Amino acid sequence: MDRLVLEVLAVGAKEGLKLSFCVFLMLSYLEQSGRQHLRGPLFAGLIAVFLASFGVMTLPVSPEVRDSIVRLIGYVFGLFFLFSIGALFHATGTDLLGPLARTAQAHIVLIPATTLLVILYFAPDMAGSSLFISDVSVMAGTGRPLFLAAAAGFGGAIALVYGVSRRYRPDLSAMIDLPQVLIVLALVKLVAGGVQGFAELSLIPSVKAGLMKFVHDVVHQVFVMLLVPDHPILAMTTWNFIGVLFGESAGMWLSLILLALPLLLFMRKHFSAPITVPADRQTSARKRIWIKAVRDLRFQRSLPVLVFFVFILGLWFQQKGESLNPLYIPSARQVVAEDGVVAIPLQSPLDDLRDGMMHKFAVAVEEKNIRILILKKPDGTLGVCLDACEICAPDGYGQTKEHVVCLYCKTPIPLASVGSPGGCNPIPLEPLITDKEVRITLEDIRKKSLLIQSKQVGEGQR
Amino acid sequence: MSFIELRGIAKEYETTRALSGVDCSIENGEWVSIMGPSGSGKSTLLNILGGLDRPTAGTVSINDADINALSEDGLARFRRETIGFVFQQSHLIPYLDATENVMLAQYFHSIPERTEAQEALRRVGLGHRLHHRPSQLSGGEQQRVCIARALINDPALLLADEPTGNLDRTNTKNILELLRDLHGQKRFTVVVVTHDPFVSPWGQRVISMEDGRIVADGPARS
Repeated sequence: MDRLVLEVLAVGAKEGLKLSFCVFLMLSYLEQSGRQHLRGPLFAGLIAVFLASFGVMTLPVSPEVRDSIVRLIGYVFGLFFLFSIGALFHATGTDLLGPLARTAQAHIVLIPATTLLVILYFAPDMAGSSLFISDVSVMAGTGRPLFLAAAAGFGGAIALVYGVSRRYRPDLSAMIDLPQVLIVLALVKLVAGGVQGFAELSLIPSVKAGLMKFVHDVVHQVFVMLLVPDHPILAMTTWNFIGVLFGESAGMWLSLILLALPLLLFMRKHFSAPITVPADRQTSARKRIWIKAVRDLRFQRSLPVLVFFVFILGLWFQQKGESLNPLYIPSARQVVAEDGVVAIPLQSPLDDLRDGMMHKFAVAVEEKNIRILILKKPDGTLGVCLDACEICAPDGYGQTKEHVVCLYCKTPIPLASVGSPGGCNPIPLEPLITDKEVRITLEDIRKKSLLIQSKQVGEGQR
Repeated sequence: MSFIELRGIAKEYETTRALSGVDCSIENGEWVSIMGPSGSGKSTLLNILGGLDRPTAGTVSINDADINALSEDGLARFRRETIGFVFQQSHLIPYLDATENVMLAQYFHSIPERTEAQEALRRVGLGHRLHHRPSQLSGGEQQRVCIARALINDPALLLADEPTGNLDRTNTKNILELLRDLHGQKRFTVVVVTHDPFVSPWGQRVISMEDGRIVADGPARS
């Protein structure tokens, strides 16, 4: 119980620190930029966030909503990251808004946008932490001390930040402008988003997975459009290197480029922009003072970006090897055909084919070892296929929660598609499934194995 | 209001009174020599004028700024942007060459600018000594580097404490002629502390001090 109290106290304190620091930053920016009229919408957003948090603590929340809350934290980070990059480049003179710039400054846009962004920024974290506290209190069987501890942590942290800011009154005027505020908010989301902070966000694996899917989909669609898979020569040469393009390392390096390159480009533009000295600064000493002041300001304004860059690099090194959906790749168990038929029991001490996991078997056909995969699909039926498709080198498939994934080209295929013919699907077999076993004829396996692109069937066995 | 206004300046070091009730005004662009025997308070007065020391009592106003009211940071900024110093000792960094010594003053002021530093050295007649280290320069040349260093940031006020104290008569004359030329071009205010009767007449006005007080103040007589 004491450990739980401390845990929710820490979660409450973290949320309080995060909220008060970000609100302090936002208020400082609004004051400095002469936009005090947006304080009302900001606080309106905060009230909505508190109400939402209270709502998820007291009302039943479905698992789907829980998943959405966690995903939303990542999306909000992405959104603020994109906003900050856009604002950074806008500040260096790249006009990204064009004719929309004036509209974006209008009160009718700024007021609801402020409220909306505040809700979007704070609601997922506050709701996530509220759910966590609510779950912990259910587990502990008594809610009151835990809620009180969370409230104490939350209130104490806010009081602390308020007290420190009143006492020391830090002057952030040189450092903060809109891009800096946005990038600090993105950084806070990255460091302290969710109940457990950045460890929970899995930024690099998420970005890597998204990029791999994007590259895969685009390249695949283009190749299919160009009929590359059906071309006798192109298909072979292209598919010899496509595994590299679709692989984890490509995703890893692309994720670094996507997250770090815009920051480096901004730095280059920010520091290389020419400095115009006002005409009234006539002596060289006064000109030098001006240039120094501009350089100092540029450095100060680039500090949040530098910190963000260093953090992204650190996170990349820490998480680059991780995968968002680790693959389950079973080894193939050798089976023997009798009377031209391979019979695999549905349940044996070694396998339960209906456990939802992928099972692989290897069978010798005309001196080649051919792999078979069997998998229970979401509709309850068994998919029985060769562990290869018609397009890629026959490296076979692995399994994630919702897909089977080609080990060569990393194409994710929905579990429901297993057993359907064509494209990237594993080549389906025509088994006889009884209430005791799966029976596949050697002739069926031999015939379907002719569809496999490479003649080195079985060499990629895992 | 004059460029420099000193009102009721007093300075005490524990039991010693270095200055008592000094009142003085110096106009913008004026060259003033402060004369007096050793211990008369002239260097103390110069240090107070330069913001290197604070008076025990009285006010110091330079270019409309009450420098006593400035914070340490504000005073440091005021010093580097408004005042140039030349001392009896050159205080040049021995492992930097002449150009780099001048650039060091630029660095503490704002940003170093090599071309400008070399141009300043050429103006003081050291175009052929740009890359010489202090140990490779004569006393007079070292003092010329000091003048270039003091004037590189375009100060409104140049304070010189016995600038020719270590030089022979010929070099003293050369340095003073150089200062007079530069003063003629830029019209900055010059306050030179000296005990040398040869130096004081080079200015327009001589203030004489004894026992921490001004005992005479009048035009220089050549």
